[in-house]
Amino acid sequence: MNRGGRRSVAGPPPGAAGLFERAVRRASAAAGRVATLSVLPLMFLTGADVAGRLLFGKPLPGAFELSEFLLAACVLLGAAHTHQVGGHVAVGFVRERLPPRLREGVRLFTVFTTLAVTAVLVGEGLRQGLSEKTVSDQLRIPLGPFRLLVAAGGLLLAGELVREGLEAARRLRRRR
Amino acid sequence: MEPTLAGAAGLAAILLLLPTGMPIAFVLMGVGLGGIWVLSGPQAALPVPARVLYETAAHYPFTLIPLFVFMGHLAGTAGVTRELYASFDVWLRRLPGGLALATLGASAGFAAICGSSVAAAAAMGAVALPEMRRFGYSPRLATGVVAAGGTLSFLIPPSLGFVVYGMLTEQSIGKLLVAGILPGGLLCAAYGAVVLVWGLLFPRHAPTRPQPSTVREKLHAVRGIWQTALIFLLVMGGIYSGRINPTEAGGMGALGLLFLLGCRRRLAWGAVAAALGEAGRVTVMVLFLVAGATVFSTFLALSTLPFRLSGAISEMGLSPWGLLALLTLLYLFLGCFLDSVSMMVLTLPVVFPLVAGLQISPIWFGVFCVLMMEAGLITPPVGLNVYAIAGVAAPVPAGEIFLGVLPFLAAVLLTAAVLTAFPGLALVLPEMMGR
Repeated sequence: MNRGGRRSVAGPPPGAAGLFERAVRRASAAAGRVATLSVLPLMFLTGADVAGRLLFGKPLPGAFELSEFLLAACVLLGAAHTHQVGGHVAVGFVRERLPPRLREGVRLFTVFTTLAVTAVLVGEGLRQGLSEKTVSDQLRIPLGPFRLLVAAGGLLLAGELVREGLEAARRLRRRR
Repeated sequence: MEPTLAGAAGLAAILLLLPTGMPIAFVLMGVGLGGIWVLSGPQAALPVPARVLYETAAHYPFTLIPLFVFMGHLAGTAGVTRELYASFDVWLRRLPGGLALATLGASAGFAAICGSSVAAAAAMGAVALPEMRRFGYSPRLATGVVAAGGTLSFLIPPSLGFVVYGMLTEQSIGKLLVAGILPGGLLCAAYGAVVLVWGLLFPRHAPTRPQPSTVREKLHAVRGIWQTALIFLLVMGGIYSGRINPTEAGGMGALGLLFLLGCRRRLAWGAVAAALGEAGRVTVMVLFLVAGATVFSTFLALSTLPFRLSGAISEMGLSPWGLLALLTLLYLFLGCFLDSVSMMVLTLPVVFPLVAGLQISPIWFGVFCVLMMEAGLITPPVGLNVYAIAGVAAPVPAGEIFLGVLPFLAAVLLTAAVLTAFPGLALVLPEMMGR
């Protein structure tokens, strides 16, 4: 399995491509920090809800809904950063044993295939988010912006994938 | 295209795409999307992945994943493993393989607050391996016991394995967690028996410590366990009594540990940040896998393949025991290539309908399934726990660690056999829940 190792092995190149790669890295890392930090309010919210219910017989109004929104932010905004640090599980040991050129070619194929799925997520996430007009049951919070997180997270992930594809293409060119 | 043929083609596509190194979540999502497209058209297929991903990411019961992972990781970095190890060492040091037994005791204790086996193995390895090395334990036994001890975190609640199984099969996560308690104790005892026999047969591999511990020292050592016991009681006691649900238990456990560590001035921002980071990453990884599996399951259901397979197995007259034996072989084989959560996500859409068709209790099968996943954590060549240990056990080669875990692998299979012969071991506690 391939987990935990950073995917990038070289720094970004100079010029526009370098600028793009640095921007993608920063955006993914920033979104990853927001995603990670959302675990803290999730924990305090759950604790306050249980304490309110068990000690005072009054659960925190809307704790359930807010927890769902926080979890959505954690998962969807954290997807790109998780990919950046190699956190999405994959069977990597077969590819790693391939000759260098073939390995980079296969890597490019997986990047494009994953990108195709991510493009569907972005497009449909955008459409579903914009057409979502309902509000949450208790706090009456509009659900549309949270549904749009699928598109936002997908867009960040797509940026990461393009960056990974550019890296693989550079390595492939160097090995010619 | 004929639906069953499309289902079979989907399975073949997964087998082809997996070795390319494409993230498994996207393999499942992509093949599922393609399959629904073929069977029902693009209008039906395109909205499915985004809808499923949002519904998975914003599903309240899944909030327990980051909370459990945060709790386990924080406990590991805040030195809970070190305290547990020191306590068990005082009590067990005079037995054959005493340090290895202490490692198992501490691993079981840590498993009671940590749901990730790789995290548990790495945390325990950093504490126990230098000690065992200092007292002349053979690297094979020392690394084997740490790698195997880490697997206890996958069975003893709070376990990520039960959470994922519950998500995928729509079973009560609370009942599944409680069902893991007795089999977890049984597996720990089986591991202990392996160490004892190993220590008796090969005393040079596990030298007995010369200095005995006094009764006063033993009583004093209990202090190293109270913190873990308290958190476990808070989490599992709450779930078992029915006063709080598993998600709330996760929140209370994490907050309780944060509070205890704060009171003891053991809380460092760096440790909290690292635990938050791990919680975020694991949650993304697991929920993307679950979303991918859900899209793929939708396609499989459309293809009718699981029902056809279930019917074929019924016609073959395969008994539940025959099916379980086949599944054991399948999981041992898959464990050579896949990690535990991926194994569940890939197989349950097909396997669970077969199991349900043979009237096997879904809660019992959850325990069996998690036990098999544990075996996968220590089978070569991709035993994740082994590689987690290899990082802290250098220069011990991974091959030596794999040899060390072999007797423990036999203990997992023996436990699975006992669990099959006595299913009540897994079912008695869930049946008594909330009475």
